[in-house]
Amino acid sequence: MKTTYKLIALLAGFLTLASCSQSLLDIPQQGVQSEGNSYITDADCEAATAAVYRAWRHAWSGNGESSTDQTTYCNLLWFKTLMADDSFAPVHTCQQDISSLAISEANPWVAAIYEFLYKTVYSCNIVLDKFQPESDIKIRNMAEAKVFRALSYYELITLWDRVPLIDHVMTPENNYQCAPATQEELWAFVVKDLTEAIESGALSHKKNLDDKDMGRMTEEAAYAIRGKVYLTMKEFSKARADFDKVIGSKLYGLIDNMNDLYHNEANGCKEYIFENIRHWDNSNLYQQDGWYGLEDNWLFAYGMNAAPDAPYKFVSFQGWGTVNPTKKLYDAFIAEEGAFSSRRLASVLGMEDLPALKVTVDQTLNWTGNEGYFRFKWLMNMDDEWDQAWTGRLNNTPCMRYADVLLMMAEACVRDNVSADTYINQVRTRSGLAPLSGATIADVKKERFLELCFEATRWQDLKRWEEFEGDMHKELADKGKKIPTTYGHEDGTITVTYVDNPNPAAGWQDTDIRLPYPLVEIQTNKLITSGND
Amino acid sequence: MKTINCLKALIAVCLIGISATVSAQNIRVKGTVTDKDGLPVIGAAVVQKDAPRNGAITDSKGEFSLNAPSGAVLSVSSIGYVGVDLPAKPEMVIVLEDDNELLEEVVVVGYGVQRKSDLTGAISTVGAEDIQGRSISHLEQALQGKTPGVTLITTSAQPGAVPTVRVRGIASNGTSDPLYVVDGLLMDDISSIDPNSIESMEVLKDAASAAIYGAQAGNGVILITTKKGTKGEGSITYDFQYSLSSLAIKPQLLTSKEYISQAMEANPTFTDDDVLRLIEQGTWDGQSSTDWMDVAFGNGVTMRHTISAQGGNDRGSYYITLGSYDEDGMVKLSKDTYKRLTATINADYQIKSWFKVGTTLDYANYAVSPLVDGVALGGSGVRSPNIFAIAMATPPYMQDRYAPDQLPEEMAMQIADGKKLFTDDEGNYYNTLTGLVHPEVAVKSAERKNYGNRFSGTLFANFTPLKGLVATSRLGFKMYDDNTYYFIHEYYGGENFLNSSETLSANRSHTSTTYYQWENFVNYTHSFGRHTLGAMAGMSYSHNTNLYTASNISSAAKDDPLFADVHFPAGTSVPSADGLELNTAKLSYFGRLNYSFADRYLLEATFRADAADSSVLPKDNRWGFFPSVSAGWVISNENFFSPLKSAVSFLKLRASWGQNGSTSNLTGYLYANSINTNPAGYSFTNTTTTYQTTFSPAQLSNPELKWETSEQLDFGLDLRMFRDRLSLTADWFKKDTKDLIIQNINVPYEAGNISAPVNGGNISNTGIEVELSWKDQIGDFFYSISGNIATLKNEVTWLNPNVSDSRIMSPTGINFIGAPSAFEVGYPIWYFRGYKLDHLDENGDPVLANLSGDPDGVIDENDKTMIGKPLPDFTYGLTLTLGWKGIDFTVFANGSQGNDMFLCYNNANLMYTLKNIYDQRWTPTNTNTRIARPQAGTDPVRKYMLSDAWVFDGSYFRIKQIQLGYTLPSKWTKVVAIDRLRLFASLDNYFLFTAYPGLDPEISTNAVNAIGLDLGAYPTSKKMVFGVSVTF
Repeated sequence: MKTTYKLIALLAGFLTLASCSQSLLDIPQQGVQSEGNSYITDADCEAATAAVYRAWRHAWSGNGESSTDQTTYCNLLWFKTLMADDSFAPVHTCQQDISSLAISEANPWVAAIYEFLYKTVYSCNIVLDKFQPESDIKIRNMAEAKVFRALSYYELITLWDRVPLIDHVMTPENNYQCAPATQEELWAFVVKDLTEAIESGALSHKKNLDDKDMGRMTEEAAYAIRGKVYLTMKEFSKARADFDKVIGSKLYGLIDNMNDLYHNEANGCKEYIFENIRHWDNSNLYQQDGWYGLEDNWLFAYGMNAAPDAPYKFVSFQGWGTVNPTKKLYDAFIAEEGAFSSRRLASVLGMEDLPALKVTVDQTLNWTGNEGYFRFKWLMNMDDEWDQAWTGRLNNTPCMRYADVLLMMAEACVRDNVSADTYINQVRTRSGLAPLSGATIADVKKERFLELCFEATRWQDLKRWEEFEGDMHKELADKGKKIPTTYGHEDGTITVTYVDNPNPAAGWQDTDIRLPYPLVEIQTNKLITSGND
Repeated sequence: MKTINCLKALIAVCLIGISATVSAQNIRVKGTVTDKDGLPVIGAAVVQKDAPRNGAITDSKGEFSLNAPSGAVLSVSSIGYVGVDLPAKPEMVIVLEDDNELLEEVVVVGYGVQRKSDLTGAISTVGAEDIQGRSISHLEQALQGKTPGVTLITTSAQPGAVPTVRVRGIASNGTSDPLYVVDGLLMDDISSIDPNSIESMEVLKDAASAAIYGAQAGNGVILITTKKGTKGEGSITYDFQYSLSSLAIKPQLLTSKEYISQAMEANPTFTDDDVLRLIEQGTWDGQSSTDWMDVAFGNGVTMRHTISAQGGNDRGSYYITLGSYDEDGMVKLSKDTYKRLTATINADYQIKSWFKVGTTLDYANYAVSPLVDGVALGGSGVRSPNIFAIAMATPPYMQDRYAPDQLPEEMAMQIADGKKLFTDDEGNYYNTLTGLVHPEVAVKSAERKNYGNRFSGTLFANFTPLKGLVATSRLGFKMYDDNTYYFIHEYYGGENFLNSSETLSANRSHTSTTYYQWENFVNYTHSFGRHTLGAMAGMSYSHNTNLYTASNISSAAKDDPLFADVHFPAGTSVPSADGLELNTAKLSYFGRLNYSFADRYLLEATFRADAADSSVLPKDNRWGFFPSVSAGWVISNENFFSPLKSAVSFLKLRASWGQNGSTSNLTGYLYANSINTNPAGYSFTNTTTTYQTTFSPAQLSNPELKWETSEQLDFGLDLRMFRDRLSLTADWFKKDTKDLIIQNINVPYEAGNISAPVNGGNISNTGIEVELSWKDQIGDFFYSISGNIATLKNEVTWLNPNVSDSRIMSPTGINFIGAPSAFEVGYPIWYFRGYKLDHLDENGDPVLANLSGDPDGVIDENDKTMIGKPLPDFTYGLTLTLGWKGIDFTVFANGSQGNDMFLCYNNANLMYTLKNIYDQRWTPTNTNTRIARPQAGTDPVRKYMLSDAWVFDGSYFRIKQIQLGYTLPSKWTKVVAIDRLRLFASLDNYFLFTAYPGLDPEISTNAVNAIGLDLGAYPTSKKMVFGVSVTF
């Protein structure tokens, strides 16, 4: 009997002991925020949206030196510029392959650009998935996320033709497998995002023409992007209507001095439709994602020297000359504008321009990938880059200029057989060129080539014009087939030689119309194959 | 006075003893010794009990004869039988009963004990006798060579350093430490336990034995039982050990002439003129060579005292021990030390017939003064670096130290410049011109200390409400207080900034660990007829809190011991502080069922369910379930076996299968996509430098993440023959570990972020383990020889194909050269990956094999291949014990075969430090060699330094111990109230047989992913040990 009691007491005791609560195992992680508590308030929404801007800044104009692999210097501005016929790359095989149109699926920059753009889409999807349109801030931010998502897709579609359409944050089921969508689906999605953003009425506006402090994606910028999308889709009247919204807003204009573009003087200027913002801030240097100016600096490490009293504030210690102008571009400037046009001097220089800048060639050396010309547009200066720390540029980078909008408007007008003169002539007049009358498509193309050189529009322009005039075939046929080398001599003269590019893939081939999917993407996403088209 | 009395007594006793022998009346005794079946017992010892020197051995017919005093008692004994004492008679027929001790021997299993004969799993035991008298400082070392399938990885042999234990190969790309269970307390570090307080260690190797510990048992479990008091009169034992240690292998280094000749070969611009300059500057006298090994190394002394008391009666028992261990290693200046004070109190008491309580308590106070080792020269920015590599790489023409009036000009200038050069006790200046830091300066330049207190133990209560039912409630706890401290003096040791310090940085860190586990389990056994049923069920909850704080100052106020702390910053000092509390918890349910029929058929099944806390696994995936089954067949108990029984006393076949887990590589919320916040994320304004914070997920989440699982199949055999003289245990196992935690997995870019770690790899370990022993007694001569051997085949069988670069390279590399250790499908874990040397060209420069067939002959990443593997093909151990009267003699050796070592003491340039390699180098007259000509370390040469030319066979055979002991006859010692007095002397690690040219073939840079990589670490020392053990 006694034993039975003891046994019962014992078992009861054990049951009590054994009923340890599982909640004891719920130990929250310190020092981090979790998904569950990070996406609730308006302030949270601002933080998630700022991450979108940051992701786009990284994609468009670089990540400074915060990573260490070959993709450190990669950004859309350089990447697209190198693919076009206004520039050539001297070093780094993956960059030279890009500028030779010998871009393989293993090219690390192809992977980087693809990754950066989808990372931006992902940041947008977080804003759109995690928040509900329940306050003014959230409604505005969701509209901004849609614009950035559309913008990222514009780049993805024009570069790769067909890509997976990701309109939500993916979950790990199916290992993130996703098939490419059709071009029609993708364009429809882009138009829908932009239209919804515009129609929400929540996007910001600049206060006036001189408002330098509008750091957000505005409604006018959304119109400009949708206009560019319509132009690409060959819906010219819709494009014109959208560009008209930008032009008609009178909130944008052309600045007087083209030399200021891409430097601190132009931060927030009336010509920038939208831009990547950075600050010259010693305590947050590495947070600015400045593109690595030293890489695209002139070849100062290779036998060039700038005098200490040079009129331009060169960062004249080293440099690789990554984006070198082609002779074709220089010649086009001379043919159109004569020897000393202000636009040419703000864009591309020849040897004859160096003495005025107090730059000399001081020893015998050779510059591979260079045809004897120097890019002056967005050449970094002492005010742009904290060069002592090599962190990258700290000035804003425009992603679209008003001049681009005017010229896209001009193009849409010409295609619709409406006079484009007003628009094209605004651009020409700023550079002191004679106005045109009855501008043709050829005029518009030439104007875009010169005005927007090194600004990552050319390759997509050529692709857009390909179906009308076969421009891509014509203009890129010999791109990169020969590698130029400029020999500088101590007397300051140069000679340029050309050798055949040993890479058999160099030069235009029909498959170059779109970029290859990155190797890792093909390996990991079974629904994408290299030949999938 | 007292001494004289003692002496008198001793003499008296001797005289009495002699007179007793002389005066007795002898009879002739003839007899036969048989077993219970009437078969003769051969080799049985028959001795006169009070005069053991008078005895005989039975012959092949079991017969013996001897003279003995009438009325004397004869002791008859033989291995495998219960000994008997009988009065001497002229004719004797003695029948010996079988000794069932081996059958009844129990072993500790998880949450219970089992008869050894009933075991169905693979368990190896190390007993107290394997530990006693060893000069080891840590318990882990006692496992080496004694248990097949247990290997040790040593990253340093300096005082206080703890080797890493691996059971049955290596089962993970991350940590694969076994679980230690000390008297039921789960521990991951047993370094503070005094080996002398250990009764036994059971290594649960197969999955079925270990499965009761579920998610922590994937890498094997080691059950440690501390000593308990035994019934009977209490005893007090005092053990003392004194050992002298010194370098086990002193490598032969280059002489000055050889060194200079090498410098000339490497650098044609270094000519006789430069040599003359060395002599003119007084750097070299043109003749002598400094042996930097002698400069750095001397003798070390270890003293160890252990005093213990134990006793017990029918109701309770106690065991108390105090131990002191004080080791000063072989590096000069006594700054490689390990001091440990330990205390153990174990007690239990049967309060009621149904209620027993008990406790096991361990306390340790320890202090280690460590030296930097295992770091490549010139590498990783560590101040006062690896003196083992320094001693080998310093030019021998450099003088060790200079008297103040004979200083070289440059050193005089350094002093004049206000640099703080160190002097020795005689005021001589250490050389600062060697290019490296002087070993004694390296040692003197910093004060380093790791020290603390560790208190751990259990309290338990056993309820026995019914016969056969025992319910246990047990509380286990650990309270650790671990501290680190360092202070860097101001000093100038050489030109390299790493060899000097102008500031006085001080650092302290403190970690306190508070752990408790509460376990409640019920054991039930019931026999009916020939059936025996056993059941166990229980639960466990554990909680651990780690509190970490650290502080640092960049400069102290004064270079004075009284100011050498964080509390005394200089005005310019930059302080820093850190602190964090981390909590983890586990909840488990477990159970076991045993069934046996007629001691022939044995069946066992276990099951454990473990829940990890949210820092380890996602909430929805936190439960792990770990089953196992095992079976045994004792063939020797079958009726049909009886004809063989006289030769084969025991034969059992075993088979087991089970799954175990490991969550040790999952700590720190690996699965979660926590949100990174960046306060300077993005600015929406051009006019002010203000930022909007950004939120972005750090990675993709992996809600599917789960523990690593080891699935193991084991077939075993236990055999005892010839009256248990011969015993054999053999096991074959196959252990497949899956779901390894793999980082750096590529996912499609559309996912938008980097992948969380995934379960993405499998490893297979297979092997055979054999333990064989023979023991016998011939008269009063006992001997035993036992050996064990374990083979291992380790292979990575699967790796997620999306892992970056399709293989994992170890992050532990060699400066300028890269990491040789790789983890890849189809290869042994962390195999050496590098280039193959094809030949040396006509200039003595290396030409590497162009394995990729690159038409341009470019040697790149694609030409790397497997050039070695750090894991051995087999390991073995051998123990020989002899005993005769009071004399005992033990030889213990262990070995490893088929493991490779990657030798890398010097990596900046291709310059040789070891003479035997130097002698093999290419010269115009010695062209048939693989050792390239000395030269500067530029790119192609660095690839050669990552080639198979630097992979050496690391196989070795080491005689770890040769010990001779003498136990004084008790009749002498009893006079001074000593029950037992043993003296011993031992030579430990004196003999090593290996082809490896480096300092120690047992050294690895780290135990996880740089196994077999030798960057120069504190090598195993040899020790001369003297000891005494007294029991009152």
